[in-house]
Amino acid sequence: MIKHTALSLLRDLKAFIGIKKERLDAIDAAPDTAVESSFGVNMLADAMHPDRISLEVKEVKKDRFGSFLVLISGERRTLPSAKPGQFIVIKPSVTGIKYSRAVYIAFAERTSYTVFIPQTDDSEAEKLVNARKGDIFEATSPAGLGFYQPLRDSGNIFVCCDKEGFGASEAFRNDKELQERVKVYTHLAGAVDTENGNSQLSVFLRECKLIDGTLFIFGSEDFVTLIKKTAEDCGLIKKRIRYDIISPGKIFPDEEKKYVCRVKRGSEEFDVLCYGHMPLSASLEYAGVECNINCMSGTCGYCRMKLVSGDISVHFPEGEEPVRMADAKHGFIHPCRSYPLSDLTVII
Amino acid sequence: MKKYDVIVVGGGNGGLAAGAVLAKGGKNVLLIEKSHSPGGFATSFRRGRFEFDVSLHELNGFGRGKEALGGVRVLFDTIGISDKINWVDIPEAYRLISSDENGKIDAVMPFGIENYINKMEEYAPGSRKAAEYIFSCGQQNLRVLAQMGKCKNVFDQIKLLAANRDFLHNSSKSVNEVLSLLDMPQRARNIFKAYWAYLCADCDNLSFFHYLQMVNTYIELGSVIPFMRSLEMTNAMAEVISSNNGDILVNETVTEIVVENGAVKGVKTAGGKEFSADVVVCNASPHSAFSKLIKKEHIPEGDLKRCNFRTFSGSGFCVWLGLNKSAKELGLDNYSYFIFPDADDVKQFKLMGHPDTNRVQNTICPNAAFEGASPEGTSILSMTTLFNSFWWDNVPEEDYFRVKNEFASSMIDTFEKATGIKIREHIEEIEIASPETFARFTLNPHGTIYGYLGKKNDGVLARTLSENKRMSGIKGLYFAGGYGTKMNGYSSAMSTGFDAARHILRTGGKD
Repeated sequence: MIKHTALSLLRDLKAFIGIKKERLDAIDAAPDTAVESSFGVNMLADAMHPDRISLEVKEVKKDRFGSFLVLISGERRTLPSAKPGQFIVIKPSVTGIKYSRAVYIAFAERTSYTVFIPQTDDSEAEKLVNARKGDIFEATSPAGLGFYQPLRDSGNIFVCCDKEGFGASEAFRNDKELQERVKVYTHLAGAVDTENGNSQLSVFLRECKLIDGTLFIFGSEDFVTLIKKTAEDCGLIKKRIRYDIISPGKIFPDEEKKYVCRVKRGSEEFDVLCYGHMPLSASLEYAGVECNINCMSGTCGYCRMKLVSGDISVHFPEGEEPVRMADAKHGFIHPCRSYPLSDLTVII
Repeated sequence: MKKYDVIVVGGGNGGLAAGAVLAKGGKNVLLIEKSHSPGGFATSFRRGRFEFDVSLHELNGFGRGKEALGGVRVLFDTIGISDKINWVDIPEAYRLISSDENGKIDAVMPFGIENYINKMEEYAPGSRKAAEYIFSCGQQNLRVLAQMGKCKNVFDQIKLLAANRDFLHNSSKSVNEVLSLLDMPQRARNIFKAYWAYLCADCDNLSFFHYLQMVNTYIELGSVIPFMRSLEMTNAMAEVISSNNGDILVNETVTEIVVENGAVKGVKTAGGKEFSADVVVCNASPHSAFSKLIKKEHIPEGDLKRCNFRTFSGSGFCVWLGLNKSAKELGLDNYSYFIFPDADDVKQFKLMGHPDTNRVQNTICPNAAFEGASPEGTSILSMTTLFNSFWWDNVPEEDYFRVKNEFASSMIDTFEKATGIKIREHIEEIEIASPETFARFTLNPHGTIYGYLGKKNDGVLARTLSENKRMSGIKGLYFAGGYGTKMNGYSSAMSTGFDAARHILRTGGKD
């Protein structure tokens, strides 16, 4: 379609040879100075989502149901921003915490987080409830998917929480933009069916049918399961129900559900005791094995490891299991929400 | 210090491809990945009931059936994973929704060269001859590339080029330059150029050779995706490494590529580990390598100049939507939507620098390709655009989430307006990634997702003709991936890893 001639052959050959020459000439003309290494968006990423932050306890305010800890930055002048409904994961550290513990941020400022640690059976949580001014913790950046997203959620916000999720409900209440349209139901007592002055659970159960917005549920597995089912039975569609479960379960030891986990990590191989009442990651961390926990809710996948043999149970609503299809195909699990049912072998 | 034959820095498509080919070829490989999971962009994430692919729209170069083998197919056959992945065929090439001086364009283009040309003629009568010429150039390109490597000397090369005049004529020209010489209706040109958004370059600068390579492969071979998302390929490649005496270390960041006397010696990591090897394949960008990983005194002047000559390509912005209605209920009948307010690619490209003016998007709906892409009664949309400026570098942290949400909202508006399909009220899950997100997860400068810009003097042919296999003056150091000798995208990134690995297997890699 394009007519070629002898003259155009020479011209085209010259142009073809020029392709390489033009590039090499341009490279040669470029400066040999140090390569650019600093980019605005990359620095923003470092500031907003550092892998780890160091936090110091500035103040402890105890109450019947737990403690509010005011945490300031140990190293940086400002802390990564946090949305209401998000949490930080406090990592095993020199202050004696043996395994990762996710705690909701009740109030976030640029230089401090106020987190709520509920009083529970969990011995590691107890250490945090009894934290002292000056204690240092290492934690992840704020994480979690239980935050308000205006492109998805209704303008009217309802929050239902138990003791474990109380920090999240406080965050919604404290947020200047959201507080005018948030209604919170809290259940701070022990058993989920207790009706007393510390529980608005009965109020929620009465008003559930009237909810005309998005419901956020934060708390322990039993609590979230109950509230979610109640909401669905009241006709609330999936889109209008958001939830977050970060309770790690009871403390060990429970001799009846004790198993051996063979861990393979690079060229190392060793055994660790794990317990049926604790997520596998908690048992591993208790034994000093780093698990890269980032959420304790099973949703982020950072802790993924391969289950070579053995049985586990994963407590998630059907169809919402967070392990990706291709990971499930290749035997990967999220140990932060996997509970051992037998002896196991894993590859980290 | 443990010694390996080859250390691969970074587990993206290029690194995994290189690592898998090398491991399969008998080399003792260590792949080190800073994230918790290899894959780089080739991964997925779950939100509620949905699983979203981070980046793969369609895989070019896999081919259909045993007889049509694209480059990716050859790679996957080599490492033995072609049959281990659940492949889904993409039903059509694309739907272009745009407008030009003749009015609105709404063109659904099929795969298959003959089908494509016929459809083009329907939308733009009088385009057949030009379209046939273009695709014949595509076939000529393939022949030349296949034979170029067999040329023994420059005279053989000249003979080959002289016998393939269209290739020779078009190889130094841009897409618009070649099209301007053809008797082709503007409407047809606009439909043909739709894929420019995949390459983040306007057609005044995009090499015709490169563009046609991509288009020809897509249209001739069709495209596929793995049912279980791109992570299925990633895990399969990682498995090849692990099961062939290789090691994969995740959650570990390489902090130094050790160089002595002009040759690589190994790597050091943030966790205090050290590993030795005489060959390193680097899946990180050359910018990252030469600014952060290799000590200044060991970097050849030529490597610095090469880096400083490059221009970064576009930074990505994606919106993933899990919708609580099925694709059928919503009217999402097509897989791939290219939406450009105006078909003038040069004009559109200029507008892609700022969120107020960028209205270009490529959006896919996997449910249009296969059942089971999401739970019954639901559907997925994955929207992508690019920014060809570094506007996001200057967004203050306190404004970041608001700005991100506002632009995501504008992308939803653009889709609704272009297609007439209402999706906003059906959003059950949403996730948004800005350049900051991509910078965070990949460490790519500016959060770029397309490597270095394919500008006129840095297109694929220019790179291929002027680079050695390694792209570095340091012995034993290779680059693989989207910043490599080819261009960007899955097939190119994998291809550079494949090339590097084959060269290392053939020569030992220490040249």
